[in-house]
Amino acid sequence: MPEIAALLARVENAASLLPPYWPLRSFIAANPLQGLENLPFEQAVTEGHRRFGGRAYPTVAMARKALADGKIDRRLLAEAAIRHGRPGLAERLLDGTAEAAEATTAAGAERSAVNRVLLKWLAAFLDEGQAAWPMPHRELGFWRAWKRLAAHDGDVPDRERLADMADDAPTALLHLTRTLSDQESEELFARHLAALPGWSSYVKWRQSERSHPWAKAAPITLADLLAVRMTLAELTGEAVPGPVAGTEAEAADGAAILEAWEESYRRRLTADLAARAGKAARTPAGEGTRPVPQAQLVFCIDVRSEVFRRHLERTGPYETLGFAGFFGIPLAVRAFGDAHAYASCPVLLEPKHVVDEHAHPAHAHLAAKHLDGRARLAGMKGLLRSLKESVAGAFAFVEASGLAFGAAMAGRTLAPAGFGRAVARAADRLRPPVTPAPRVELHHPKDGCGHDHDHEHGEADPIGLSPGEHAFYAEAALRIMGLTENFAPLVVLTGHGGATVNNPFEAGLDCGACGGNRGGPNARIVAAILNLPGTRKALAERGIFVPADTLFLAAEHNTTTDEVVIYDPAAAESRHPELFARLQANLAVARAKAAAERTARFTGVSGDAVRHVETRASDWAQVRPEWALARNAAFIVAHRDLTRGLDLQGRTFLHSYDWQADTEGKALEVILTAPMVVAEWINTQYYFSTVDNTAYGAGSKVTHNVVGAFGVMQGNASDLMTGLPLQSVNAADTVAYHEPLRLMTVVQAPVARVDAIIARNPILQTLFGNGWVALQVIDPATGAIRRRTREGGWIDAPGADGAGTGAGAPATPADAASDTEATLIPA
Amino acid sequence: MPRILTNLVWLLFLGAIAAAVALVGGEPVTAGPLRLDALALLLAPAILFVSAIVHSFALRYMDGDARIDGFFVRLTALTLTVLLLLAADHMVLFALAWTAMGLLLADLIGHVRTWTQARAAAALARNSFLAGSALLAVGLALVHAATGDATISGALADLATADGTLLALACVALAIAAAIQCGLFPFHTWLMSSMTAPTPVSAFMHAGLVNAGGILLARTAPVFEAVPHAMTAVFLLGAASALFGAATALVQTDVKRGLAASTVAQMGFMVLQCGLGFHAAAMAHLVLHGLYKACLFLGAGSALSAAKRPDAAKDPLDAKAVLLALPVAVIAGGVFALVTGKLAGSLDTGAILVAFAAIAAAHAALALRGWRPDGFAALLIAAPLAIAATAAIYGVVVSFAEGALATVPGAVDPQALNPVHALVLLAFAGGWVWALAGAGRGSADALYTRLLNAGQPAGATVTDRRGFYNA
Repeated sequence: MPEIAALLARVENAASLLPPYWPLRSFIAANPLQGLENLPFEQAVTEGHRRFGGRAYPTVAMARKALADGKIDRRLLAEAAIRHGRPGLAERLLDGTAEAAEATTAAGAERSAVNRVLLKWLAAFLDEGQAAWPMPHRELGFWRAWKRLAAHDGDVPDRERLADMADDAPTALLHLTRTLSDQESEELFARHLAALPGWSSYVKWRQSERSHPWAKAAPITLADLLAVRMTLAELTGEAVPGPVAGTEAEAADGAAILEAWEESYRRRLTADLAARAGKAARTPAGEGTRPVPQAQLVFCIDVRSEVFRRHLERTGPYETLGFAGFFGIPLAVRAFGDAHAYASCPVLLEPKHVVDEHAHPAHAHLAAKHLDGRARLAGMKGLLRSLKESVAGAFAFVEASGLAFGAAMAGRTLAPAGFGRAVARAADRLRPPVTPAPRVELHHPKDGCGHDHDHEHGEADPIGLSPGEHAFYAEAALRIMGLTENFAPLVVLTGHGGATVNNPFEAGLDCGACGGNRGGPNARIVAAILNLPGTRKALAERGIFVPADTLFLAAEHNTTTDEVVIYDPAAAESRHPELFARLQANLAVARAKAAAERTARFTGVSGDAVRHVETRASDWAQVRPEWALARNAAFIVAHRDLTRGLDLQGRTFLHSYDWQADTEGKALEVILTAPMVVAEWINTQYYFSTVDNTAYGAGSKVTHNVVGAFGVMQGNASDLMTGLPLQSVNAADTVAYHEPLRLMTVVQAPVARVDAIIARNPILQTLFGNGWVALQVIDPATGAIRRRTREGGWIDAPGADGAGTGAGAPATPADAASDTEATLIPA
Repeated sequence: MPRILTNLVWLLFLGAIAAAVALVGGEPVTAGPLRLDALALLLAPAILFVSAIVHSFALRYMDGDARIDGFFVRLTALTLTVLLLLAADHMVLFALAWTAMGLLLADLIGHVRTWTQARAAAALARNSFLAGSALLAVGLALVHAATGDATISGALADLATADGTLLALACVALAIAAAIQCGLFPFHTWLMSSMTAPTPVSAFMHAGLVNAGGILLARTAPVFEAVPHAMTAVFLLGAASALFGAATALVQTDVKRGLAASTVAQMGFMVLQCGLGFHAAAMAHLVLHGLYKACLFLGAGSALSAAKRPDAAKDPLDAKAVLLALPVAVIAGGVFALVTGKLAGSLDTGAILVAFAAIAAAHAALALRGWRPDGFAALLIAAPLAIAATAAIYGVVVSFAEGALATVPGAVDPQALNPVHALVLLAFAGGWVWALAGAGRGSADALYTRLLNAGQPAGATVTDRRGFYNA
């Protein structure tokens, strides 16, 4: 039916305003204004305010504090204010007369009975296992299941009229909008979807995610959602609110503040980089061979890696690199002992390969015991849950178990770290820990593990990767990270993950490049592939000669405690015992330094830094286990020589790039269109969660209420709270920690190469052209830094000459860099 | 300030333990309007323990809160008010402490002042508590009128000569006051709408403050025992809530409201125990449930692990399962009866407690049936043993409470069994079997919808537009 197809297209158009929202267990950052990225930033935030009631720019209070702290340069603010026709802004900020751009969110909006009924049924329908008795008829889809049950719902007026409505949602929608023009109905859909934007975003994700286990058990579409909401609106006679208005003066002030704040940061960074770039350009290329470091460690581009890399490099002749933490293979991993595989790659990609983990040979004898213990633990958990839910059995259960719960509560509160260790030890006794090892070779599931595979993540027989694929991904990864020669004896691929308890936003601390999972398994898989003799041979045929004594290792960086655990140390101990021992010792030194830097960023912390971060990671009362990616502000695509030794304060994504080895620009194109785009999602999520934590963030953790085992609401019931919680961006209720700045990308490559890549990729034209991301390019030949204008022209980057970095603004110390370089002696 | 108050509550906790050890066996200590008896001495350390944990937890959890000093002052004040309530013997002091407790708690439910729905939840709680306080005052005034005594202990000693009608009216007022405080059906809406409170407040509320209703019933137990059928009425009041809460909890999809529905059920069971004449057991239940629920509330951020796959199949409830569960139930019930002496004399309401212990054991056995990692023998021997041991622990706890509270009037006063007891027990057994066998698979549309609606918070307390959340 063409009518239906046209209607569904209008629904999709209306929904394009909303970003999809992933369930919390794979916390994926998204720009809440993703649907408006085709507009210039200033227009998009205004439209975002109209649609979602969200604030557009940093608040006056934030600006005042940043100005007082020297983070906004006063002269730059004055310039920006004049540019925006708001002279005297700095003075007005400081004397407190600037209009407070306070939350105008939903001001004047009325209570919504429709939303209350909808909240009730959406939570019931979308539930993923919280309720013991799930909503009946979910397999019919939301609209049909709701129609059946709403017939009994006293909150739905005139519900006998439901019987006359079409049985399928699109037809019902067609009927509901029969008197409207196409344009009117599309606008109406958009308004209805924006009435509960968080829930609509989740439905948008659910509709698109066909491999989601609940897609069949409880299918839901945006048309379902609209049919239910618009039916409720018709039955209750409640109007859907239209867009809200904002004031232009506030917008002009905000834009000036944002630009000045960004410019203050960017000029300082540019000045630091310019000094290095100039020096590098003066050094003739190819003069002398680079010394081989004792080890190379590849970290994720994540801003948290920068701190650790900086401290590690100071401990000895180590080279560190930055690369997307999934290490380049679109994978689904079936963890040891699990029945199902999970996607462990950026959500931009569909997993193309499934890799099985089995027990590491050294632990093979424990495998059976481990699996048995796991089943036993799961059985106990199931037993507890069943007793909690028992209609008549829960009463005596509570009395029999109350003391144990009380003891656990005391332990977790008074001695979190000790209690955590004790629980882990007890669990280890029951279920002896087994180090997994991936099976990367192509094989058929029948041989070996014996049980059936499901096909959720493109899982197809056979699983694993062919030798050709091994070589393909190995070469691509090494070329994109710019590691094609000068291999150290030890090359450590370091994934990362966070450590936190009692935290619904747990996955937000893990690796975004791994789809919100820990990066360790990916590191193990890619290291295993790089160690295969076949891969080495194939690499040599393609011009990458990895020395025979080079060993690839996998590790995981715990971003909450800064511990780096190297998997399978036995191999390294036998091949390079001394180097490895020294590396382990230096990792511990770097860890202590990084932990000390980390604790300085929390308020009121004293004492041993390492102990403190470990306690923080295991504390169930801790709402700020770590700062995660807060304060991120730049994305640097360059050789580490450019930034080594600079204190970038954990604010920059660092992607390694060797412009000389990438003459066609293929690697750079991948970097700009994949990792940089993800960095923009993260950056905008932080920006908007900071400037308006209600409209775009998740609100305070202290009143969060986890719903359906996939999201959080506020209090008794509310919109699904998408975005970051208040505690992730604020040091206190009214004190922002994150600095809401848009991302600046800095690329070390010839301008012409960058221009060509932008010309090929509309996404880059959108992001750079509409001001979502700023771009500066460092010309490797001259060391000159150029900034791209939104129109696509190039100007000299402000600040590159060292001027204009702001009076009183502390320049970043270019510390012991040269010393460190001097220690890079051949191993 | 927060740290000082936290240390103060921990000191009070240690002091309460010392006082309990020193005084619990002896005569009650009276000082003016205060009276420290075994009930006060037993409950004070329990409530202070939860309060101290909540204080310590909130030090980190509420860090950065704009009103953190006010928060801690109220939390500590609330704790002191509950202590005062435990020790208050003069009726006026008891009523004042009760009222202050309600007002402070309502204020903490609305801790986030800028959030309209939090203020609405606070107002709802405040109005409910004020109504409860008024009823409490009326109830105590009636007891006073009937006995001429101004202290609770004095009145209880003079019940024999009191006017029966006045006492009966007092029972009605006191029972409803207790029901409001406990969040019993049909007065549960304030509790189901209280999730605007910061998590630590919820933990303390569900572990300490809803309990006040049980404390009131235990304090005034002889009044209820003096009025014909009053105990059976209390039993029914509790049973209705226990069934309602348990059924409502089944359909809750968010973790905090699920916990609140469970509290409605557990408080119902505690009142049911009071109605059976086992006030000491009810006090044990109140303490143990407090530890259990506080732990679950503080850990409410761990709820993502509840996620399941849709294909998680349930084992059918077949004859084999029943055959397995029956002997376990008999053994566990027997162990519990043996430890507590509940079936030693003539058959009385003690049998109901034994039956609930047996059902819990049967449930545990059934829950284990799909799980056989170590073969059938282990399941056949280890599981019943573990369950019987658990029943023994349960029995020991109840016996301990009954021993410790032996001097409190009416603490252990089993009633004669009547048909109402049997009917209620049947309803529980039926509901239990139905939930095990049917719920989630059948499509009782009307019942599901009714339960879903019954657990909804008050409309004014739902943040029905995102922008209303303003914290």
